[in-house]
Amino acid sequence: MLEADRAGFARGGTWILRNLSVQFRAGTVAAVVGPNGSGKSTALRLLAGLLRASEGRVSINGRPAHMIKRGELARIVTYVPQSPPAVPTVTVRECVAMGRYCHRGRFRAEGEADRKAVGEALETMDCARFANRLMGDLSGGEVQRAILARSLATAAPYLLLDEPTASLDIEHSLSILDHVAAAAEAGRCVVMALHDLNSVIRSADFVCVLKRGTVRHAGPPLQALDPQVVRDVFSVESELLQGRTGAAFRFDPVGHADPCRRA
Amino acid sequence: MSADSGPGLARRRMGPTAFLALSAGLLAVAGLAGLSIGTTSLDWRVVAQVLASRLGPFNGTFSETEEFIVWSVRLPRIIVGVLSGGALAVAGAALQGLFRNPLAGPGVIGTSAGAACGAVLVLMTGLAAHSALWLPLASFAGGLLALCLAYGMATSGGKTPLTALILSGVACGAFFGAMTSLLISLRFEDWQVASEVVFWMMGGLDSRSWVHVWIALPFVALGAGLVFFRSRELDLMLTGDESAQTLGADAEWTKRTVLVGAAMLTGASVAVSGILAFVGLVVPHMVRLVVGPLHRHLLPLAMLAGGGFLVACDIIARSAFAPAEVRLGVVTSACGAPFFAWLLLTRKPHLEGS
Repeated sequence: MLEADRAGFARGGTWILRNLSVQFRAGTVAAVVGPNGSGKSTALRLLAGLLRASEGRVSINGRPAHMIKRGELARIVTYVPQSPPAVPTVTVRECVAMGRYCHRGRFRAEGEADRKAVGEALETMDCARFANRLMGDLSGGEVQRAILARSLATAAPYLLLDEPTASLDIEHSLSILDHVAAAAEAGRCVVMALHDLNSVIRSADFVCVLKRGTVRHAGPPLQALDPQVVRDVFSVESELLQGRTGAAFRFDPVGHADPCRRA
Repeated sequence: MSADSGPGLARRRMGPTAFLALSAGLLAVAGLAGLSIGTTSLDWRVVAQVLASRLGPFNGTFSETEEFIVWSVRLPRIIVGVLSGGALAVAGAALQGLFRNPLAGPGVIGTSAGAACGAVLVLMTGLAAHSALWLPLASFAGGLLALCLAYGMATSGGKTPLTALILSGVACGAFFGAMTSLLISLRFEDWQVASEVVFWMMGGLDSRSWVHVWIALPFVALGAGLVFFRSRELDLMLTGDESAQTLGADAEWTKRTVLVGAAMLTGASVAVSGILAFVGLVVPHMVRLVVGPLHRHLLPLAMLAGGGFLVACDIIARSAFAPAEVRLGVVTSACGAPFFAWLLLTRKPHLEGS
């Protein structure tokens, strides 16, 4: 279990995140939402062990995250930053194979288990087709999928993704979200920072709503997110519409609500 | 079109084993040529006989003069060249990877300027004339001092952002460069010392002996060992600090080991062959174009290719205007700069972010 207990993080005397208490279990897809600067990325990086909590603690299966060595941590938690730099001169397969480095000795060559995990990750993220191409020759969506495949190849049970669908078109972002849901069904725990509330409603089992560094609401998406919460947190008017394939929000900036609808 | 072909394959690589064979072959040819070519031209068979008789239980037919030329004059020169060129190429390859910057080279963290400053100091004060050890020791000390200054300036709270390190490295390099110029200008009227320094700064392998081999060898071995030890982390560092950490690399320790290793390699090279521009910049790019950017292959191959490149340049330096010798640093720049320009013009995508 990946757990934050009243965790906070301060930089230069300013609190960026305070009093974060959440628990993430295997088999769930959790979303972290909130306006820009609300502390989403900081929360993910705390959970990933990249930052050390200034107060409270983050623990993984009962052990404090900062006590675990990098090599071991990489096998438990993997984190994909928002738009990570892609290395243009490695092939997709080489990029994904980097996810296996933490599983073998420093000078050991790739083994059977590594090749299998890389192959499966490539398949899952639909990258096998272009596995031998250079990262620099791929489209934005393909790069994103390759980098997600690398994080799957680590076989880490906890997957932390910072805006995995940013800069992707609708088709690719839906397919990434489906892949992520499939990974959770296979027994992993996925925590994503997301901007699109409709993606949250569609894919997440649990949502954590942040504003100015504190958790305002948490729970299943349709309970934690309603027009009232959206107005408080994002300063936006919204309407929850029920469609054939599920619920979705429709947004209007505060003060610019549709005059026809009001009349 | 097969399932896994694509535009990426068109400019794709040679296998590491094939390239290993190729560069080892080229190094052997360049070495043999270097032993044969010179003011006294020798048949390569004589050279081979001398080597065989010194290294193994073989007897050959050759004169004592020939043996002396091959074993005591030319062989140490070539070994120093291989060590020095290999060291610069490995340092450059590792720093380009660490900084994710194609323009990085041994000069970028200020070590080569620091090493040069140390060396010029002992040349100027006359200490270098007392013992052959002073020059290499001073250049190591200078290189490490520059690295410590740059690292200290860039580090805060246990973290060293790479952009800060590059800036402080460039600042240190400029400072030590200025100090070197100051030292030279203070003694400029002393014609003999000044010309010795200027000659040394242009780099060269003239009159290198076995002493120089033994001075450079341990530092090159140790520095290369440190850098090779981190080859896996260097791969991960290509993906950015945070990704590297999340994939299992300790980013800060990787930086420290690689920087110290690169400073040792650069210091060793500057100590025994002066300043050789472009070797550490161009050779790694050349190798990366052929075998790709993963350091497990890149680093050892850069070492071989750097050694071969420098020995080849040394042959040009000795024979282009024989009997006069062109300074080796001039040859490496004259060969390296056009190649780098060509690289920039034709292979831009390969330089980005590699």
